[in-house]
Formats: sequence, C-alpha cells, structure tokens
Amino acid sequence: MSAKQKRILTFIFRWSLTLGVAMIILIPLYWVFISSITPRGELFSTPINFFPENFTFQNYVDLFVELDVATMAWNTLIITVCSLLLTIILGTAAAYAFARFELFQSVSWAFRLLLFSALIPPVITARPLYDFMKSFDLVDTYAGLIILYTSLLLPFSVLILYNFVKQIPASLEEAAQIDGANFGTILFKIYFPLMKPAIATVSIINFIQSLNEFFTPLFFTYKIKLLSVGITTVPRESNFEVPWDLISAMGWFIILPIILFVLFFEKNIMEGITQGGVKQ
Amino acid sequence: MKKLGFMFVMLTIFLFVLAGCVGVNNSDTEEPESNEESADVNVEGETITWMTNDSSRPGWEDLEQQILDETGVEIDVVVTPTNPDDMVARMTTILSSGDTEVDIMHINDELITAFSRAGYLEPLENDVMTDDVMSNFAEQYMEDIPTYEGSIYSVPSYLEILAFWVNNELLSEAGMEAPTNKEEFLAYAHAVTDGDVYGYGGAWERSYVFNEIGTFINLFGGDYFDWENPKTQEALEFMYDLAHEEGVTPPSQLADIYDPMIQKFIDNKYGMLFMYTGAIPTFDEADSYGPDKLDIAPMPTFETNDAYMASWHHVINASSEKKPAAKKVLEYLASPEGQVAYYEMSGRLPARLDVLNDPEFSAPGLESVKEYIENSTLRGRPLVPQSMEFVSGIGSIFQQYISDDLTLEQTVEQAQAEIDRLAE
Repeated sequence: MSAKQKRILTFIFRWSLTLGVAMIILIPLYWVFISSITPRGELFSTPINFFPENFTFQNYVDLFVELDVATMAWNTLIITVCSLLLTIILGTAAAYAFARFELFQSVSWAFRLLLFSALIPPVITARPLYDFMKSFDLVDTYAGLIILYTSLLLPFSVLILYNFVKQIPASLEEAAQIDGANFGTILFKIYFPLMKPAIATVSIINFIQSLNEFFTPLFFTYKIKLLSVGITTVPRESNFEVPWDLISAMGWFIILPIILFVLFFEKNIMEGITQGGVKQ
Repeated sequence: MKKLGFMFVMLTIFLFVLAGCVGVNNSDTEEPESNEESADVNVEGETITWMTNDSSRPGWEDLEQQILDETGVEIDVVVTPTNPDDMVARMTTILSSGDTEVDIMHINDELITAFSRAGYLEPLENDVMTDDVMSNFAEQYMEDIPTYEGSIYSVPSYLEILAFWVNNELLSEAGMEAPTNKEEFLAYAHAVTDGDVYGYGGAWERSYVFNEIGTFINLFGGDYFDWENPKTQEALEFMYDLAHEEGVTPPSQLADIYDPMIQKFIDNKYGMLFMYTGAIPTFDEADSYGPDKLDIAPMPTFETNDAYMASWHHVINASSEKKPAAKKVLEYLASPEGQVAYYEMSGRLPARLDVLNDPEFSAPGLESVKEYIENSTLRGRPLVPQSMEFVSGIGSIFQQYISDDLTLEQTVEQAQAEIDRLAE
C-alpha cells in the first residue's frame, strides 16, 4: 500500500469515526427538536416523518404562557450566578491553601476528604441532608439552594484551581511578602489575575453543571421553580399520555444555552482543563 | 500506615452517612393523633398546602374558589413532578422526613399502597370516609386499594376503568359484532389481521404490560399473586399465542407504551385493545371516538368479565399540622358536590357511583362506564408496597417469556419468586 493510499484510508477512517460519533450525539438532539415542533397528533404517526408535515412553534409559546418558563429561567439564573461567585471565592481560597500548605498532613487530608465527598452519590445523602436543611429552615429558599449548589460545585472547582495554583511559582508570593503585601493582597492582586484562565474554565463548566442540576431542586424546593425540574412538572392531559411535544420544547429550552456556551467557550474549557493538568 | 489511616477515616465517614439515612417518619414512632377532629373545629381562614399536578388545568382556580366557599379553607399549591420516579422520590422524602409543609397530596394507586403501609398517611374512616360515604364507591376497589388493616386512607378523586375498546370500522368491514367471549375475540382478531394491521394491540413495555397481564388473568379467572394457578398460566399462554401461534398481535409492541399504542389504534392498525376510559378525550380530539369509530365495548367474558379500576387519591400527610382543615377539604371532595366540582375541573369521571348514576349527571362515555359498573366486578390492581419494582420486575419476566428466552415453567417460577419476595 502506497503512502498516498494510507493517507486516504486514514482520512476516511478518521472522518467516518468523527461523523459516526457526531451522529450518535446529534440525532437525538435533532429528534428532540423535531418533536418540539411537531403537532401532538403527528408525533407517533407511521411511517415516521423525519420532518413534520405541519410544523408549529406553539409548544414554545405554551412554555412561556402556560408553564411560566421565564420565572424558572430567572430563578435558575439567580441561583446559578450566586453559586458561581461563591464557588469561585471559596474555591480559590481553598485551592491556594491546599496547594501552598500541603506539607501539613491535616491540609492534605482535608483535600482528600473534599474530593471524596464528590464521590458520594447524592441519593445517599439526600434524606439526612433534607432533615439538616429543614432544621435550619433552608428547604425551598434561595439561600438553601445556593449553599447546596455551591457545595456541589466546590470539589471539582477546587481540584482544577489547585492544579493551577501549583503551577504558579511560590517565588512570586515570596517577592510580594518581601515588599510587604499581606495575605489578602497576595490572593486578590497576585493569584486572582494569574488564575483568570482557570477561573473562566471553572465558571463555564460550573454554569453548565448548575443548569443541568436536577437532583437538588427536585428534593429541596416546593415553590421555587427551576428550569431543570420544570421538565418533570409539564402537565399531562391524562395519566397514561406523556406530552412529548411540550417536554421536547422544554428540553430544547434547557439545552440551547448549554450548547451555545460550549460553542463559544470550547477553547477556554479545554485549555483550562489541560493547563491545570500540566505539572511544572 | 498513612493509607490505613486514610481508609479508616473514609470508612467512618461512610458509616456516618449511612447512619444519617436511617431516618423514619415521625408518625411511625408517635401515637397516631385522634381521627375525629375535623367536623367541630373552626378552620375558616386557614390555608393548607396541596401537592398536585392538577393546578395547571384551566378550571383549577374555580375549584379552589368552590372549596373556599364550601369549607372556608384556602389552598396553596405545590406542583408534583409528573415523571413517576421523580414523583415517588419527592413525595417519599416529604412524608418519610415528617415534613409538615404539605397537607394534602394527590397520589396514584401504587403510591397509596406503599404510603398507607408505611404509616405516612392519616386514616380517614372515622370522619371523612364514613360508612355512609364509603357505600357510594366501588366496593371491591375500595377494599383492594385504599383500605389497609381496617383503615381507609384516601378519597378517590375519579374513576377510570381499564375497558375493552373495539374499532367499529374494522368490525363492520369484517361483518362482525364486538366480541363477547374468547372464541369471538380470536375470530375477530384473525378476521382483522392483515399486513401491518393486527386484530389485537397492546403496550407490552415492561411497566405498562402489567395492566394487560392482570386483565387477561382476570378474564381467565386466575390470580395475579398465584402464578402456579392453572388459570393464571392459561392467561399467559393465551397472550403468548396471540403474538406467536395466532399471530394476531405484533411482538414488536414489547417496546410500546400507551402513546404509540393509542396512535396505532387511531390509525386503524389495531382491531381491539384494553385501554382506560380516560382515553376518551384523546380519541375524541383525534375525531376517532364514537359508535361507528373507536368505542368502548362491554368486557368480553372468558371465565369472568372482571375489569380493573384505577384512580388517583386525595390523602392527608400524617405529619400535617393542619389536619382539621385538610379533612374539611377532603370531606367536601368526597361529597357528591365535590366530586362533580373535581370532574368539572379535570374532565375525569367522578369516583362516586351515586353521582355517575344520577340522571342529572352527564359526561362523554358515561353510558359505557355505567354498563361496566353494572355488569363487571371492578377490581383494584394487584399492588404491593414496592409497586414500581413489582410492576417492572414481573413485566421483565413476561417480556423474556414472549421473546422465547424463558419457557412457561421458568416464567412461572421466576414471577412467583418475585411476588413472594415483594408481597411479603
């Protein structure tokens, strides 16, 4: 086999694989979108229509008029933004401490425990956590949700930020100390600017995770409506029929900002993760 | 040594977490409160919280107003997740933690079976579901579902019957009448089956098939909890033969839930099926409901003509701090006026038989339902406390039987073991 033939074969193999993987991911998304613009009566018609004969955007209108997704989106935004800010502040401080004081055994253990906490399935902690939150009157409150979201986002954020802090030479900090800088100045004026790429990455990933988070709002809210749970409260006409058209529209309403985010910030996400993984 | 220490700490944390999970509902450990506290207490102006998925219906505000006018109690709503798994998780957390936020819940047959046995619900037999009131509901159903150890735990909000539906267009093409027995059932199924049109249609997805297995077991006079019963086995073999020997129903429906089954019925792909009476509006909207289109026929008699009834129930959280007000509301919902008010809001037929038999009351499909009430025994579905696990477990075994992965003997053995495990 000549070199040219090899190149062509490699090219075909790569692209087949790429297209195959892309199809596996994109076809369900396409199907959800098509279902969202298909009138209910046509959803299960046979033979299958890969594009509806009479498409409609009524389901998207219903989302705003009947399901009040605007309120859900607003609540989701408030909780997500507050959690992100808190996560970044706490995460950076924690990452700094874990990276700079890891010679102390207790600090190193605390870091391991934090990472371990992320491995516990939420369903195991749900019930005791519910009792705990209830005892502080934090169930179905913005404050309660922000605390829960922050605790959910912190372990991964600290891990990424920790790897980043470790790459920053300690000599910078020492030089600042010699010049009389206190801890706050060092953290906010030296580390924060240097960690911007990592903070951007963590923010983007956490934003996506917050939008996707389903378990926490499902268990810890009554009346505060969030987007991710909204999909499970889409009303049914009867007990045995699922309004797939409306659910699909809701699905797209949730997915779209995530897709846009990833499209716009893909480079930052990848850079942040890979940079954090490189050792000095 | 360092590693050992780390593992010890991890293990300790894990045990703490587990210990935290062993919480129980307050009501389990406390003496049940008096069951006779609603009638004489002034509840005017109180607000109770109602967990339901009905609040998005157009008539909900009218129902709230009617309740306020009749009882003086105001309603605050918490929306229930409609996805069954999420609903179970959410409600179980609230009830098991002794949460007092929710007073009334709207739950299905499966959940009332689980929650009543767990002690999460307030008994209602002394003040809401008194003998007088009870006598107006389907007797066998009330015994099967909301009653546990002599106590009654719910007010059924509506009545649905898993009825026998026929395609009258295909029937008249075949020159036949709606089947009334097993022989006619098979004859009609054969007469209709042609290409992609099948005489009988079903939804044999592992959770949904539960209803059909039970319906055929009822028709053959078997017992869902006894799979060694020859009549139960006869029903299973009959279903197997419909798909294989007779070839009058498609094995591909093993993947179907109700939505595709309903669509195929509307598209004239099925000659008959079992479906809830609540599907009337769906067929009506598709312009397919009526005496010369898709319609409910009397249940055919194989050995029996028993039919399943299903409902959703209004129940009171045993930990509620507003039980008198909640009971006042349930008293109204159990009354003829309350049942009609709920019907007007939801379009679902009332569960009270005296309301259904009232000449003043009319609703689409009412005559067919009355025919069932008069001529069939309406049973509750056979459920156990862990109903979802039970339903899908038996469904999976049945699917393996239909797919020829299990013989009838193996199916019976495995299903019986599952029943013995979960029904204890």
